Amino acid sequence: MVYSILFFLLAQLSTTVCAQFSTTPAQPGLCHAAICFANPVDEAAFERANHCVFGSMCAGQAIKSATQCCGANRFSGKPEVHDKFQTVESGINALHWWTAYKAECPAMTQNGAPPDALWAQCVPGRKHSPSDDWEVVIAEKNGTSRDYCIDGCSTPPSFVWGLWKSGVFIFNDKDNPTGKGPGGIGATSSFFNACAAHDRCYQTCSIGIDQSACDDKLLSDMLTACATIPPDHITTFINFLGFPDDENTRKKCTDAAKDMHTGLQAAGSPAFKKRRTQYCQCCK
Amino acid sequence: MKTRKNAALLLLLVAVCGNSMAELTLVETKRELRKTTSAQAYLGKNAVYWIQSSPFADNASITIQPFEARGMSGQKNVKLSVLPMIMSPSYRSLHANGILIIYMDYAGKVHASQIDDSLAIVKKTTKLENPSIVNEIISTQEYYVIGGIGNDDFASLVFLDKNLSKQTKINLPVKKKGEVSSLFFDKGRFFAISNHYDASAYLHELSLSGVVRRTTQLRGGAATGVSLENHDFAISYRVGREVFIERFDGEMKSLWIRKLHDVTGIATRKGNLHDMKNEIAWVGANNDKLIVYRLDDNGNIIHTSRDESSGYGVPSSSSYLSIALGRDIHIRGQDRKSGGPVDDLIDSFHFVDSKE
Repeated sequence: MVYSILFFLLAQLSTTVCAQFSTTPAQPGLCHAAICFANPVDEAAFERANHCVFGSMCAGQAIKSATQCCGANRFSGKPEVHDKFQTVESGINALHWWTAYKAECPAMTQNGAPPDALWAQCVPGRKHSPSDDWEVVIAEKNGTSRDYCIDGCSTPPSFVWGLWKSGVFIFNDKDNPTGKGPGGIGATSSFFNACAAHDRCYQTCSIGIDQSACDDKLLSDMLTACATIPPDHITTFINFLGFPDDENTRKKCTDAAKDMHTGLQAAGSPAFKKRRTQYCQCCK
Repeated sequence: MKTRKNAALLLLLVAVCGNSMAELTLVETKRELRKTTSAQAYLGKNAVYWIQSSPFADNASITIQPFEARGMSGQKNVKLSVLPMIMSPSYRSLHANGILIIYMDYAGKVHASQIDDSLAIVKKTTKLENPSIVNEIISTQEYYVIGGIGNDDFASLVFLDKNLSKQTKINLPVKKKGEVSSLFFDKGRFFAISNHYDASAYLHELSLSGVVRRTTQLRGGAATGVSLENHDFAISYRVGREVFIERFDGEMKSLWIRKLHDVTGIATRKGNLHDMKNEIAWVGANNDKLIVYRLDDNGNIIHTSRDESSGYGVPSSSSYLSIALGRDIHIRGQDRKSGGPVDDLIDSFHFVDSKE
């Protein structure tokens, strides 16, 4: 009885009340979501909406100071932001993950928790995540939330190299494939600012801005950059076979933009999931 | 002064009489979604197919159609597990038993997919470690020979067995960064052409088991080649901005060299060569126009066709392909100029060059 009262008081004092993902096989009536709620009212609303109940508040765990949620790694037991947002579908398909997360976490916010294993290196010159291909260029303040980490166009090096060798890109450069190199038009055709905005978009928690919204905005911004190139501008450069080559710069720029956009549609969902996982939380 | 004028006129007449000029015939054009990559496959002696990848990220597939077909005639759709970003442009097999396509996906990974004999489904797919970019695949009964660019940026030649389970790298004697651009069989041996960053190119003769027997440096770079019916070879290459064709006999002895043109404006990096029995054809682009040359056995240019009227912009370094069928040359591709920045619709073209 005493423990029940203490637990109730703790729940009331805290701004956050959590429910933990059940590791046991599915049972009728149990909620199978690893999300945190701002208060018991929200949790009860979730239970009603999903016709399920959580077994107990925080499954009996204390709220973690590091995350201000009861989310803990199911395996290590350590508090992890990442663990809070895993859904049943997360390992299957990143787009399905986002659909499920949106449904479970309509009040998502920017994460203000201290850096953790997933987010410890937003430092220019270092990789934001160990699995990233490129290093951070700009660490940009975002109020009290985690910094925006900008690495520009994050296309895989083999993708950039392949499009350069096959002649779609004029130069082997991820941020400015039609301008950065000997003979190139220079910063005019750079996609860096468009890609920086795209980085922010992936790192912004908003239920209404999903991956395709971010990707489509990137395409629009890249095409805007291409439109500043004079339509008849010709880039003369030495191709990788050692010979002078001429290309219409604006056309190459728009082709590059479209291929990069198609690439994001085809292979960008893991990156989107990674960033939203790093930057979003359900706890208020 | 008058004598010099007459001499110039005489030279012009000689040139015109020896070389008929023509307009390439546009037999089909249609507005379609911009495709990301295309390829051609030669199966046996007469069957050639045109292959295009889907433009949709959520529809990983290719279409396969007889190269000379128009409209949707004979088109088949083959599902893939991932969407190709860059596809190997040419596959040649002496036998009509399926097609191998090699492609890089949008995550930068390289896959080889065997299409079945009915050209309808994928039989098997494997990931390739090397090469990364494939320019040409030729097939024997036992294995595929794959030429392109390796992960290390060097010219790459790889044997792949028909089960797609064993990849064997062939070491070429030229240790310079570059690519293998062309492969062709001839009389129990095969040839590979390698191009390198320093504008050089080499012709390598190999046994069917992959042993390099002889390597000869060519006079230029950015070379491509084709074997001819009488076991000679024709090779196209560049020296600076000049484009040449050189003919060799079976012992790699030079028979003649013919200059085609100086590269100006938007132009092809490498020309496509075709054996037309008693003629050699070169297909490419110069000054932003498609152009076809036909040369006789002695290296005289006997016919030239250009696309002067369509206004299409030729993709300078990719995305149009050509074949020789009988006396005709078919060229298919997508216009470089027509794609709008937003709608992504583009004009596809199909030209035919015919000679009287």
